[in-house]
Amino acid sequence: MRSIPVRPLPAVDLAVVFLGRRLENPFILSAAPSTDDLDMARAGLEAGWAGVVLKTTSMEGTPVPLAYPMMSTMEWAGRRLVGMGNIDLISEHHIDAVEERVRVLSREFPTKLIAASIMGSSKEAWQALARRLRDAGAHLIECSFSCPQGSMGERPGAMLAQSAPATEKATGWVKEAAGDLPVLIKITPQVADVAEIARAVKNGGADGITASNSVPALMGVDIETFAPIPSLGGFGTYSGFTGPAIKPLTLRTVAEIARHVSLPISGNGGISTWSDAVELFAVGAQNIQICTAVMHHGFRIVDDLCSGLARYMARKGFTKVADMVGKALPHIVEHDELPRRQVRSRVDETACLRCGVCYVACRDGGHRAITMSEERLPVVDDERCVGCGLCPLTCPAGCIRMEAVA
Amino acid sequence: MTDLLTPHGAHREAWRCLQCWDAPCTAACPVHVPIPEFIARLRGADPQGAEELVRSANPLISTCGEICPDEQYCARACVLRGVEGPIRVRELHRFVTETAHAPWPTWTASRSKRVAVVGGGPAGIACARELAALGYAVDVYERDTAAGGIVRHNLAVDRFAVDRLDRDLSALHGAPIAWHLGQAAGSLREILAAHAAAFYAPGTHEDILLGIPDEEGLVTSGMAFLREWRDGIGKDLTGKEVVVIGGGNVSLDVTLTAVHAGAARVVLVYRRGPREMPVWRRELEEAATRGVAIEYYARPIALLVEAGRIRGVQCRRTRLVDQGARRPVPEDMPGFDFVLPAEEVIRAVGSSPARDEDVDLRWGSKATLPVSERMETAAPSLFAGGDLVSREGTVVAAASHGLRAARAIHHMLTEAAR
Repeated sequence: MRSIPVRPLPAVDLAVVFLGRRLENPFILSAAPSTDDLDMARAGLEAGWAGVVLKTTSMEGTPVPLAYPMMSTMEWAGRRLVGMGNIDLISEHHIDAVEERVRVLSREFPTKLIAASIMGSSKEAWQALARRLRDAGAHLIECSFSCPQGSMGERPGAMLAQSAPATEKATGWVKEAAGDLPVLIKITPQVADVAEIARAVKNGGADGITASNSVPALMGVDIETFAPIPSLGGFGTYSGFTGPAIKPLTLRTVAEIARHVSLPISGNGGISTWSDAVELFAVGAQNIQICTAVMHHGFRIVDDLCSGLARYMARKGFTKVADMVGKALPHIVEHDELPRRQVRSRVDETACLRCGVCYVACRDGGHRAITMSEERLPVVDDERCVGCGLCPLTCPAGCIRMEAVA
Repeated sequence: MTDLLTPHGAHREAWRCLQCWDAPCTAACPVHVPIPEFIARLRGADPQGAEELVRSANPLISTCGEICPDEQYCARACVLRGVEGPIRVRELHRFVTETAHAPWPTWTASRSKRVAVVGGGPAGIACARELAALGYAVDVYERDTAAGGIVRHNLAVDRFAVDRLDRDLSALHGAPIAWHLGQAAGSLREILAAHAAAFYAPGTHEDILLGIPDEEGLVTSGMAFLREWRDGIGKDLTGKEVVVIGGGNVSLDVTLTAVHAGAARVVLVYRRGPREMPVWRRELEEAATRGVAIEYYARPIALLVEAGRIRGVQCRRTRLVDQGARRPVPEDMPGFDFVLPAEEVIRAVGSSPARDEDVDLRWGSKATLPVSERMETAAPSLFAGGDLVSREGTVVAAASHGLRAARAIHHMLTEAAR
């Protein structure tokens, strides 16, 4: 690894306390391929991640029929991995191996969070898994109620966390077996009412909730062969969709839980940068789990996450991460509660590139309020402009803003 | 020559385009290639659709993909030029021409009228293509045995692979164009008598001389030098010290070819400074990286000759004087003469038209033939283009002359029929 001389970060404490355990920073490697190998988990922790959730394990004898290739990408505007899809399943490794990893890692990294993720198919399985990993020394157990593939819900193809009664019941089983050990339930964003599921998690006795898992998606269709993507010999299935594209879904899911249920939240899904993380804190997450960004750019991104977060906190005067948690929630209201103001589009002509992209957008998708002058500058007609806010989104120079008018 | 963009690189570059509403790039392109539109088709994984848009605007699509100086046209007009760098339009254009192989069009001669094109260079090819597309039967008269003009014969070997020109010509297979190659065209008077209209684009072929003693017989013509290398009979310059007199793009091609020919040292002598040099910066950078030295502010005044062979060039320093003209004028500075050792001196200070037409084109004192916006000459039914009418000297500018003339001819002939 290259050694880059760095100035010390601002004297900001990034540590968080989550379910009674201190984490040196709020960034945790989520249950994923990056945590399904002892050396990789070790490398992640050495790189500076505050903890790992080892890849989900199940009872011995549970078949894990992986199918390859399992990864796929959503591309847009010449960018790869705007979103990522996977048809991965839980860890192939024997529960004995996962127990051993828990033992080794908690010994080698006593200050880090060593969590195990489990998925069972019966009360007995859930409870046995919880007991075995607790006895191995896991600091926390996360229960996958939401893997889009190989699910173990009430109906074939449904996820446990798509049923509130099933969620509450299974949570109770795990908590009964785990005893004092903190239990997180990892849910799916694909439900009609996520708050209802979060209430079930709470009523089942869980200590917290992980929101949320990958989003069920069909990543694409090969238009030559009409095979789904990824294609496995011409056949395919739905993937779990992750990465930058799903951040808005995660923000809404976490916000919905935080607004309606009092339950510690571990945020997960689509976080790539420190500012993404701040957004997720602001809607109620207490820490951040990351997988896709690491699978793309490696464990070292934790340096960037910590650097950006520390500088932001110093600038804003936040002394601890908890100061940011939920800061956006009071500002989230129902549509009928929104303030009704008059706003109009305003162009900073000095920064305008004169490309006219705003003009085309307004002409064909707005209210035909923008015309182009002889000097190729956009001119807003305040009579026609309703203040929809489309034009600033299209401006490559960022020189249009919406301004309140009397 | 830069490497061809990769598919992903082209996709990324295509997505950088802002898709300006009024396409300043298209306005700056002499043939008005619909640039945002072809880029949009590249974004949408429709390279054949992109190719169709470029080809319909530019008959020399493969040629221009290789050598069009976008820095003076589209890229110069790009709104991103001063912000994050212009869109690499020529590279995208080249990606299209090198990767998209749309089927050639089918042709029909639907009109009875014949139109003549004199000169089979870029202007003539473009004019013939457009006339044929409009349904006319076309006679192209080209004194060389193959069409292409300067593009075929006089570009540096390293700079342009002539198969791109051949590919552009292949697209005209089946077109109602009769290629009369390797023969004199006959007089303009005869041609006009036998055709409904004519487009005259013979190029400029008279070498402008340096005007120094002993020049003839000792100084090599740059155009001839380039052509010999193109024809595979180029002069070997291994180990020689070469001085090139010039300053334009042709002189840069000569320097590159001299390097290619094995010259030990190549010096380009130019009478003005780097800012005045009317060359494409890309070519200038290429020459510099190949080790070509440039002696600015100097002009040759005499050859040093021993036993009938050149040993050097005596040069005189110049300085620029603003006389209110378009460009500052170089003025001699006597007393600051110097000698550049040279075994080979190549002249590339331009060429002039023959001006031997048998119809009155009202040349006057002009160095270029005066024509209207529609490329009309003073003679009825005679249109003109190419280097004869403009010093712009680019393939795309010549192509634009041919296209404009073809449309004007069509307009004239259809109006006349009414």
